[in-house]
Amino acid sequence: MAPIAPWRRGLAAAAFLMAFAFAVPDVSAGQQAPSAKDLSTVIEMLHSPDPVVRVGVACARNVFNASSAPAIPALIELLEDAEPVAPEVCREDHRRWWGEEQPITPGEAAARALVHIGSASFESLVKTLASPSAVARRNAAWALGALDDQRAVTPLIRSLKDGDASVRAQAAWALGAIAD
Amino acid sequence: MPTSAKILAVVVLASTFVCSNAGAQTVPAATVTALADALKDSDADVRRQAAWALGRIRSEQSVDALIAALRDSDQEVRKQAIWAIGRIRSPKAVDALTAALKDSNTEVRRSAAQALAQIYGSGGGNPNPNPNPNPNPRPR
Repeated sequence: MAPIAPWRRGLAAAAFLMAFAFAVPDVSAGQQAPSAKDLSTVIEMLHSPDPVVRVGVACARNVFNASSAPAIPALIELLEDAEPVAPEVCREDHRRWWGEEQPITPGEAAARALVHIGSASFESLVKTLASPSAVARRNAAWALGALDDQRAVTPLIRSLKDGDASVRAQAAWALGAIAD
Repeated sequence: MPTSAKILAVVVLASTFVCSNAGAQTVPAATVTALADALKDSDADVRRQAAWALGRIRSEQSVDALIAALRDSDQEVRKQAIWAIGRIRSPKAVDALTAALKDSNTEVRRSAAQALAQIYGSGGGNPNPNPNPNPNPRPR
């Protein structure tokens, strides 16, 4: 038996997550915040041993918003997770359907989720700029640029002196994105 | 001096200040300085992103550093620096951009031609405080 192709695994996970998204009551209508019980399920899945599940949950649509702040610590933990999965797992990223097929990592998906949560993520993201993990620092720098909050300017200027080049590049990008 | 004249003077000065900053971003000078430093980073991707960011910020203060980046060993950095200078529309950059018209890389030459056209299009030596946004995509 040939092993299951990664993209098939990704599609299966995406289908599973769609079912999951529908199971979360009324979130897609934007009328009602997910209840504490739903969010604890989400947080549990962010800790899944399967990277496909971690990415899939982190980029599930309509799950992360201003009322999902309790998920922030779990998402911050995930920022250093660099295990790549097929881009199809992340249904939110439509551009990749036609563009280059680049894998996505749980850390990147978590950064996006934190941006969707919004300013409640700000303080934790700034703290992550001092993380021992370069991957986490880089994803945090991206999220701070995407959050577009002027308060991030001073910490990001500090990150231009980071020991890791990918963090410095992302910090430079973020400073331009905030100034825009 | 009557109070009304003082008030008028303050208003005139304030409006002059506001107008001279029209179109400029409220970006701290420290950001521009730090990004100009990053144009000298050892990593080409950092230099490229810094040039992109300076193009978004459009500060006249960064033009000298961007002109220096036109001699970067990496063609992507040169291209991004040209794009940034074109957005700032600094007449100061004309000589450097004219030199870039002889760059070994086709993309760099094309970007330089476009940037020069933008600077001339803004009316000779007078930098346009409200340049049209450049359609160049973000590098990332």
